Amino acid sequence: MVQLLKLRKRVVFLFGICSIFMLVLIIRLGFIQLREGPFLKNLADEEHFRGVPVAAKRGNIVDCNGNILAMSVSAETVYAVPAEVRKSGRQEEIAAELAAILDMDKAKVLERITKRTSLEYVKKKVPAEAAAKIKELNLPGIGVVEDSVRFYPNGSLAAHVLGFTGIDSQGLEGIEHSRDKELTGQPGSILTEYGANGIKIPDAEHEFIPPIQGNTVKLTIDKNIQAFAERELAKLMAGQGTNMEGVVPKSASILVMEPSTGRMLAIASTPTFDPNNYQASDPSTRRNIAIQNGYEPGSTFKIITLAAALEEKKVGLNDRFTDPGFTTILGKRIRCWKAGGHGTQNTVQIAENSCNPGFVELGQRLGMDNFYKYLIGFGFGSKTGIEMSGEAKGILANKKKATALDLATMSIGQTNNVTPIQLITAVSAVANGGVLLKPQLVQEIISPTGDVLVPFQKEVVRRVISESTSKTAREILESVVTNGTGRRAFLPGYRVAGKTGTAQKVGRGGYIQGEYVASFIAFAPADNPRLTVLVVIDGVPFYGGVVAGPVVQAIMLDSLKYLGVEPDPTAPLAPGTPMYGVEFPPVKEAAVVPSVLGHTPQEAEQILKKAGFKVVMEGVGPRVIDQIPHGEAEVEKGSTVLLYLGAEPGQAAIAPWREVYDPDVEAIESFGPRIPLIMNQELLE
Amino acid sequence: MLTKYRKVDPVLLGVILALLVIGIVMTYSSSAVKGYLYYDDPYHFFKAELIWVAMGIAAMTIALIVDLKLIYQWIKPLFYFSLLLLLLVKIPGIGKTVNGATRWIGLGPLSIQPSEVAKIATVFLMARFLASNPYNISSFRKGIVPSLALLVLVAGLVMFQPDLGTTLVIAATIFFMLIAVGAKIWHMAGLGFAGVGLLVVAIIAEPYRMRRIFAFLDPWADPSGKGYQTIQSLLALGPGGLFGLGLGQSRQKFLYLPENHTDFIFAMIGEELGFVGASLVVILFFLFMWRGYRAAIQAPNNFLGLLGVGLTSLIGVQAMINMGVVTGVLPVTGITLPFISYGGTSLLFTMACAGFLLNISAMPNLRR
Repeated sequence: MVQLLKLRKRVVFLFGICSIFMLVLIIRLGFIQLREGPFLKNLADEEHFRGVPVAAKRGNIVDCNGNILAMSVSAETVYAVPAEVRKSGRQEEIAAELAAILDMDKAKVLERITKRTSLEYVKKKVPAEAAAKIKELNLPGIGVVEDSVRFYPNGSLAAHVLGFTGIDSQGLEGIEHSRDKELTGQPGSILTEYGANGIKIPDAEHEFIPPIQGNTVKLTIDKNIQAFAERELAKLMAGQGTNMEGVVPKSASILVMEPSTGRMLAIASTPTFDPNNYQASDPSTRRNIAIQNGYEPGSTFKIITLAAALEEKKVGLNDRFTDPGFTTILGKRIRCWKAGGHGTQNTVQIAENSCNPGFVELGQRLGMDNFYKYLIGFGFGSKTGIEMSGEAKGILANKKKATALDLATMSIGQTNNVTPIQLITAVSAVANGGVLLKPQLVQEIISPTGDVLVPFQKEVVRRVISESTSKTAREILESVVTNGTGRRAFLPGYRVAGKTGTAQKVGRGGYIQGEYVASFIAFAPADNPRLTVLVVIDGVPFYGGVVAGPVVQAIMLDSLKYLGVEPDPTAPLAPGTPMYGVEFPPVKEAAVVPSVLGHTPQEAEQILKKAGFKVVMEGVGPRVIDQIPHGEAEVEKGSTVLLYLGAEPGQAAIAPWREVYDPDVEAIESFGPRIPLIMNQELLE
Repeated sequence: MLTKYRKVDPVLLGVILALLVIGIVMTYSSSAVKGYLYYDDPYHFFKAELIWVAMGIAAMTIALIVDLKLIYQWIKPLFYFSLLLLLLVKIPGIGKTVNGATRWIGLGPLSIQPSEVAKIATVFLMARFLASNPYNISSFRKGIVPSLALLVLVAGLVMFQPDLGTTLVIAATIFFMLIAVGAKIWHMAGLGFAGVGLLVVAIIAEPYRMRRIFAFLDPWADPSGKGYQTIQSLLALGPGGLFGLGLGQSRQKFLYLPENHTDFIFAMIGEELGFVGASLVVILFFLFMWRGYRAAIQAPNNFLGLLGVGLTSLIGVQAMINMGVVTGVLPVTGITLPFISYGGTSLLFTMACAGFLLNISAMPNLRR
């Protein structure tokens, strides 16, 4: 037998080493579990908890008086946390109570509230009283959560301004889109623990983070004035428009602005749609043509020419103008709308008569530089910045390439393409004392608790004309309504100032015959304007004064009364002497332009003259490479055809002498093909 | 025979049973989710665990009753048999591959892990070899070299599976036994240096090993790859705090922490029972080693004494490595926590070891 080993010393040594290691383990455990514990718990929670978003209630959109235009209708949803229901042990009792209140089958309720899920809907879109009752009962594991559905109580009223929301209550158009952030609020969430396989942990902890409700957006729109405008549009579209002889226009817009602040009181367009059911509408009806479409404003633009000439002191009130019925620029005749002309007139009279040669002379006196200064100054050619998506800039003739003829036609509202919102903003600047303001749609942003978060602030773009020029212009424009072409907007007892406009429509290859954009812009009272109203009726065979004037008159009268504007005792009660020739333009005969492409200039001129057209040539070369209007286009008989000369027949002409001032693709596309203005000698009004 | 029961170290027995009970409870708690998800029965693993525990208690009882002198005769055949098993694992059709390592031999529904048998056989062989000629150990040639040869043979076969964790446990156990028997300190130090030198050479040969081995120091460098298990383990321990989330309240068991009922069950204990529970387990292993070594010191002969040291070290070192892995102080190796991890051969042979230790503790103390 071997002697017994003395193991003790060595084993105690080994045990000592092991003890030290185990002490290290305990210290390490303490470090992880006690010191780092909270940090690691956060990391673990981040991994385990996943949120189910709870939508916030979308804020309302109200008019300037607080009338609701768009609202979120609460749809209450009753849900159960089955684990809690089971834990309470009262599932039968709870199911019976819920079944009674919700008018459901008890067995079905019981099945739902005890289902092995972490969260189960018992019933959606529960009436408010029932939801309140359930809340009151405070049943274990049963909760009520608010869902919402967007509702526009006035149907299509101000549809283009309001826009609409998509399936997840996200703003897609209009104010719903531009103020989506303010309206949406902050979604809350229900956090629940999940396993690594994405399945909820049974009996998991829940954490509810309540959503923050959206803010209310108060618009500058006045529901009543908007309704007046839409009533008039409805009348027009029903073929009931005054002097419309049953004709239904293609489209029409009415804008009402408060000139002193830039607040838009109404923006109405037709055709329109119902935002409650926008999917059912033709997408074209959702186009906000008052903002997105440009047109040639025609004579309404003479207000701008007049204001500019007055401001630059290029014209005095007693200046004499002689109108023989036409004026000749660069060898081309620009006719006055009145055959034979207006004879000798003073400055006020050329406005009253909307005399083309008179305004052409004002343009000439201003000169190209001054004219453009005011064109830009009044905001044409650039966006007004109104809070609507897709605003067009309009198209101005390129100043560098503009000729004296362009200046002449621009002075009477031809050539340039402007949007209705640009025109009403510019004319409001003339009316309000000379300051161009940014047109605004949002009055204020109000929090769910009723605090005003963002108050209204008038935004001055720039001063364009002086107070005194504004005053003079107002008086002249008042005379246009009282004594001149604008008499159809006359309101007894109110001082209305305004201007008619009839613009030709540009169609395929040329101006369209017998189809005009009839418009009228007016503001009242002339001494202290409260309202500017612009009516644009597209696609009618009538003049602006005739068909748009009565619309303005109706809206102006209703709105002034509604706003409580007292009649002015000094205002005339009847318009001045009747004017003849205002009424209807002789509708010209249509003629088809023959194609002369590839002909020599001499042959082309011969062919066209034979067909009764006038000819203007551009460029140098042995052949006609392009012509405007193009062959087979139907235009007014006796129009001018512009021929482009070049060497290569059939080759597309390089951009004609005019370029878009600031190429805004959308504006160009919305406008379609354009033709040079020269050939149009039969200018209207 | 009954007298032998009375002489068994009650503390050692108590500690073993306490660890076993913790194991049963925690195995159920941590495997219920997996059982429910994969076998549609939350008790799936628990039922198997109970069978393994029953078998383990039977094995422990046999090891407690058996006359160790009889075993002494069978050590060499047992050892050769274990080597045969280790080789059999590598024969296709017999070996069962799990997670890229072939460590198991399938026997119908059961599967046994030959390395577990090899561990015990090696301890027995070492004890027998060292006890037969205890003073040879001071000779490098007669004592150290044969021991190293044994180590290289067994460790090589285990490493071949590959099973780094078990290799480490066997190496450490042999090392412990050599120290206990009285190997010269400078021999041991030399071996230690040689080991470090080998490691350095291995790292220089394949620099990626460095990153792999030290990945545990910064698991967040590769949170979804090499650091994943360590991070998930820490995310279980951390939220446990002082008293834990409560029994059954683990979140990490919802498939976040892999191997949560086997290799990482200590993390489950830390999560559900907190610092207090986890520390208790560490302390139980401390008590186990104390009572195990105590029985070894008091053993009536050199063989039993060295066997006691070997068996205690085998279980204790494995427990320490496992807990070191879970707490992130050691790199991840796939070994179980003795007594506590879910069943299998591991539990069976651990229980047998415990039985032998209890057997030794029941021997008359000749040194008193």
